[in-house]
Amino acid sequence: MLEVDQVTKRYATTLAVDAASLAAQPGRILGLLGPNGAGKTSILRMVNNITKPDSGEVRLDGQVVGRATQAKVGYMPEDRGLYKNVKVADQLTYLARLKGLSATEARRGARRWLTRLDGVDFLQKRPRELSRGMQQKVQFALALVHAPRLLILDEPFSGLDPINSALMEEVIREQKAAGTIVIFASHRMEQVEDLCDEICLIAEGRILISGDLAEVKRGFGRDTVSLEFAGEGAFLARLATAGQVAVDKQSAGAAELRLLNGYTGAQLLDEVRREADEIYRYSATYPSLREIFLQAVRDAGRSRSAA
Amino acid sequence: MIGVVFVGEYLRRVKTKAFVLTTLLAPIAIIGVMAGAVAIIFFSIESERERERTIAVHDESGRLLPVLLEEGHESFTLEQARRSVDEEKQAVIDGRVDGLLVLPAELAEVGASQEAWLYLKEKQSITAEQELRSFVRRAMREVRLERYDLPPEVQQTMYAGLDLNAVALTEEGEEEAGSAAVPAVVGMIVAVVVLMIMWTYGAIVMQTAMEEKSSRMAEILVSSVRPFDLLMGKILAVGGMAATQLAAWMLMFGIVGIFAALFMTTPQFAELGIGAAAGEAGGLPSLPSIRFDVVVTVLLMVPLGYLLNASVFGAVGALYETPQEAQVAVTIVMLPMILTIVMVQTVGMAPNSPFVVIGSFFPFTAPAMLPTRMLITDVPLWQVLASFAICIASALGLVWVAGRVFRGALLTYGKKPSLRDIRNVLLAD
Repeated sequence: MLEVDQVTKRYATTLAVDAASLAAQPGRILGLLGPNGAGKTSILRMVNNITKPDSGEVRLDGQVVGRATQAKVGYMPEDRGLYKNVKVADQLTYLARLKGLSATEARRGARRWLTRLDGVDFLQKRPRELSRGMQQKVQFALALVHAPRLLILDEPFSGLDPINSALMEEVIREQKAAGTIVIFASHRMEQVEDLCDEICLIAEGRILISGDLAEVKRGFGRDTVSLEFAGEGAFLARLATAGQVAVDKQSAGAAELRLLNGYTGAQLLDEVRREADEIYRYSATYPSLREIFLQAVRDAGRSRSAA
Repeated sequence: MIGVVFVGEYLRRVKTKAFVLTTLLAPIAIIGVMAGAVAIIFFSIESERERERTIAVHDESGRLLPVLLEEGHESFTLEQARRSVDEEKQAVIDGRVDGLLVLPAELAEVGASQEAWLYLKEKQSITAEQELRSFVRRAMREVRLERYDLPPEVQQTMYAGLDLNAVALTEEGEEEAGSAAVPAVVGMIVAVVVLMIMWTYGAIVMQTAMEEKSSRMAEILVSSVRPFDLLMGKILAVGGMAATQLAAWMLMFGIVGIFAALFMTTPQFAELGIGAAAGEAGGLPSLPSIRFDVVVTVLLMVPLGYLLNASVFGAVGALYETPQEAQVAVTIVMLPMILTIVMVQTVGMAPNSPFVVIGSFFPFTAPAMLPTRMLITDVPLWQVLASFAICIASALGLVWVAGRVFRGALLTYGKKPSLRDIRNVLLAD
């Protein structure tokens, strides 16, 4: 288990992480969400022992992180690169050796992972001969090559085509099944919703929401309505002005709404029946992660300005 | 972990085509450039010499020319000017003669003006001017002294040269023949070589750090290895590469030297007559015997100086992403080296001046200055030891500082670091 316990980190003048606590369990995927500059990278760097917390502690399986735990962590940072002119096999071997593998283990691991990721023919190539997606697979292999206990992936899918995304997702699920602790940091809400078992929402260095994804959603209530219909959607604006709904998303013939001030789903459905030519879909759901995220960040901003 | 970084980085550098090519081709290029330079100087002097040059002499006194003709000049043919000065000048312009020498009548009179004129087509080489000046001066003296009827002994005495033999006295009471000129030149060469090694390989450390920063490898690396280990491994690996390259070059020069020596002793070579010429060249100042204390000093100082410079270069590489951004910092880092080049030239003249003595203690200049000073003068042992102590202490200190900068700066992107940022990085824990 990875525990981040009351961790604070300050750089020169800015408070990057403010008494943050979170936990990630083996065999579960934790989604780390937050706007840019929220403190995600700061937390991940402390987990990787690249920087040290000013106060608080980070523990991996009960051991305070340090030189010894570094070898157990596989890290795919958001700012990632490769040596441009070094053969993929050589750089994978070198970096795996830095994680404590012997030369033979490192070479074997590099071959095994690139084979798994459909990239065994990259081994003898140099990154400048590879496309961006191919390089990304190499970087993914880099995080996996030493069979880490904790796998940290920061925006792993950015710029990847659907086929390779699916392949990478499959591998992440395999890792989860094998009991690895997986942390997945991203802005892409759908992917987080899709993959993660738990989420942790950070803004301005503080943890706003954390816990089991389904529970978090339940906590927000079933007041989100998704609509598909034919006809004019002007009535939605009228309802919004009246303070009965909030329109989160709207396009021609589709909308995502939240019911406000005791306005019920049945009342809304009556209204739609009156106004729309045809109804294709009406469903009351939990709010999307995106909505939860935006609302939490807004609320945090509001409570701060009130204080 | 330093070991893994060292092996990885070392192999990565040594296995490149660029490394193999520079190692193989640099000596050829250096020899080529030197041979080319020597050839150009040699041939231009020769062509100047071989050309028959005629100088018309307009001698108003009528007494100087006979003396000049009697003496004869090895590279100029002198002839009596038969036309007016203006006509002769035109002849120079037209190229019918190479020059016109006008010697006024006063030149033959004691106490009169000592001015003479040499007209050449456009601007000629300075050698003609120099060669003719002393030649005419001799004739002028002789003619002016004629009327005093000096005995030949007096004349001989007047024209006698002086051979000043410099002998250096050592504290052990030995006398060493030879002037300071040869050690000064050797010292300069040693200093330049030491500087070049520190400079070139130090800059490679900067380049590799910069590459890891700009290619975004840095974060992956420091999630596995301490930044200090990364920096040290890198410095040692580039040092290892330097040692490999220098050893290869010495081996190559050694082999060439052996073959050259074997070739020169063959009878065919003697028949070419070059051997005889080489024998005649024995008049050249002989090279000073190899000074083992200096060799040891160089062998110890080069790694120390490299460590000093490579740490600073490594820190600069971690601070900046591109060489353009790092330009100002690099210039500052290079100042001591430029200072060394300036100082090294004064060592021959004043090996114990405060400027030079301080230079042989200051850690950034000492690696080049100390051996150079040792070649020229006897540096007291305490000074040598003090210089080493200062260099070792500074190297350790700088490696530590560079490690901190490396750790703090390697993951900072997007803006040029200010002095305040660098200070924060140094003070952060």
